[in-house]
Amino acid sequence: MGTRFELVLGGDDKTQLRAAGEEALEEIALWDRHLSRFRRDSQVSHANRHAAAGWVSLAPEVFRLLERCRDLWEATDGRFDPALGAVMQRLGFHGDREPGSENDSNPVPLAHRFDRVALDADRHAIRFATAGLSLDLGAVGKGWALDRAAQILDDHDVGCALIHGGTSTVIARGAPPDAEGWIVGVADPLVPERPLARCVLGDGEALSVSAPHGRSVDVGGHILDPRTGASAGDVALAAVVDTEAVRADAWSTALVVSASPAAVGCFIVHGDGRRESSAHQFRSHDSE
Amino acid sequence: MSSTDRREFLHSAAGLAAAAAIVPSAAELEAVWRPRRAIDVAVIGGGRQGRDILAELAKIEGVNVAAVCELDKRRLRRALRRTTGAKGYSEWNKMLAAHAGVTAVFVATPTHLHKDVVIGLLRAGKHVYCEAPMASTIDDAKAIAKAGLSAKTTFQVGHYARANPVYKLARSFYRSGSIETLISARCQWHRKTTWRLATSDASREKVLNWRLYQATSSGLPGEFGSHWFDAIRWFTRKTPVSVRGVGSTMLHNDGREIPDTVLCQFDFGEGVSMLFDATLANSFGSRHALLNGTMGTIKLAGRHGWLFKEADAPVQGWEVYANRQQFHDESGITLIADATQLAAQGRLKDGVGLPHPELHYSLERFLQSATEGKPVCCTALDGLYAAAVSIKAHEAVLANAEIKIDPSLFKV
Repeated sequence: MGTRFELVLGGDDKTQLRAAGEEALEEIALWDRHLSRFRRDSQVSHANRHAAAGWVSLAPEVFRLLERCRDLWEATDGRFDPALGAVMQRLGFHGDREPGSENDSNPVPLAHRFDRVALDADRHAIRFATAGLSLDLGAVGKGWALDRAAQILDDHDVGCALIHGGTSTVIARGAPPDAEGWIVGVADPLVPERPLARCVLGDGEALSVSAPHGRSVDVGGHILDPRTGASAGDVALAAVVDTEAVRADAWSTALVVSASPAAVGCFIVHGDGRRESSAHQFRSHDSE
Repeated sequence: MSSTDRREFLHSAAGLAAAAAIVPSAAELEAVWRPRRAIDVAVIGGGRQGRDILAELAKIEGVNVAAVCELDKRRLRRALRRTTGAKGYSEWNKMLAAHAGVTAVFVATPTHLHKDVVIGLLRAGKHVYCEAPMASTIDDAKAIAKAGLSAKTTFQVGHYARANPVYKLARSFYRSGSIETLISARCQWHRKTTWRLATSDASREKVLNWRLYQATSSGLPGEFGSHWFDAIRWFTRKTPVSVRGVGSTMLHNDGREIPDTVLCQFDFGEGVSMLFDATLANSFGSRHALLNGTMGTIKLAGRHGWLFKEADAPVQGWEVYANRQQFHDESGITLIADATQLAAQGRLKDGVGLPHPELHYSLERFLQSATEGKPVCCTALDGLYAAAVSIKAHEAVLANAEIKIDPSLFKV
């Protein structure tokens, strides 16, 4: 997933905590091997190479993630779309931009959306209805892996933990001693070195933060509106708190694309500095 | 011939030379094999290796995992999540009784528990894939080898090297004299990990962490080294006459009986030696092996392989167009399976690495042997050799001494 994962565990038995933490990190590494577009032997690369030519069987757990992606694609009204891999590549998000793509007025062909992806639950198989389509699970891969890692910590009765992937997706268990919850700072997207808000994550909660900045491609930002092909609108940052990191990831991506009502608690910063919040976990830094 | 034509000709010739009679075509490497008729299989052992096996089997259409056996309920639950509707069991013989129709069984239990399971499955007429190392004692290794040799079904030991297309290519270079005379080999396996599984149940600690205790483990030489010991013999046809070992606990001083850092030096006679260096305290370099010859070096690293040539080694025409990778001052030719086709298409770089994990090729090859009669790529005797050498290396580490390796160890 091209990013650093870190975890903090609290408890008395260091040997057991370290072993549980290693198992959680191994699970994250496993999901990186499954989902990476940059590994030739990943399950996503396998699907991207062959699914346009016929049904491709995948590991059941990977298939379940794809089913989850379909649910989230529907719930977000297509604002989160994991079938945009080829379009992202064409626009240069994964390396060199293809010649001529600068002049694309609509860089997302209708055929390159998740409704062109067929899933067969009986065979845990995937098929693309269109050649040239490819999966990119980058928006939700970290969240999915963190959910699985947290499940392992739960299995080992680790009651106090914080895990993050690239600082943009965080999942919490319990709370530090004498604290209300895990306090996570949210930087101002317009002045990154300035803290803007803090999020107090409680037991079992996950936070995901998305912003259109962060990659230097001349289309105004790295999050596209899959429905129009244009880059994201005026949202400078969207942060979502949910009980599942994968859902938080999908919704934070969707809200950057379009800040229309969400089925999750969120904190949004617009390009003109306006802020709106629908979740009690977010507290303005100014008010502290 | 125009200069362009000449370049194209050489480009194609490069592939021809590099890939001569080595590996399947690019299309075969990419595609997932499937059996001619659907088969049911079972997996015994739901730890990390068992779960990796399940993930790769899921890619093979026509291979249905009907049952999984694992003693630990939590691990069984996690393993079953990697299947579509397999039934879970805690005892392998009960599983076998309930699923008498399974064609093949993959054994990924702790190493010291392989013997009874493998022999029982072979007696029941099942094709058996046994994870490596085959055993952690000489007696167990010989008993399994004997059962494997006398079985009418397929028995394969899970040393991946022999099914790895990149290694097959590298071996063909070695066998054709690319590095000329072997002077030494070095192999390493570095990981920074406790190698420990968490459990809140003290009575389960030694059961789950069998790799950390002398009664049940052949240590780093067994669990990691055996794969390299098999690969080096497969390349060179050489076997060691003695091993000197040292080991210490450098980081994980947590009550374990197995050193977390070891160094073994094998003497192959005729001046050729091999170093095996493994640690759980440092991850630099991960796992790789080097075969050093008078005219070059072959480096093997999982899904990748390289050929480094000495300055005075003869240059072949195709090398001009070969894909290269720089390692500090060294330039390595990337070993690419089926370079012929890719070079002809101008897609040589697309062939770097493998399209599936190493394990996939080993499982696929086993199923081909079981269902189509293809020769077994890693036999009972191959497994016996690697297990015996690793057991002796582990003994040398624990004794901090040199131990002779009697060739009779490799015979049943």
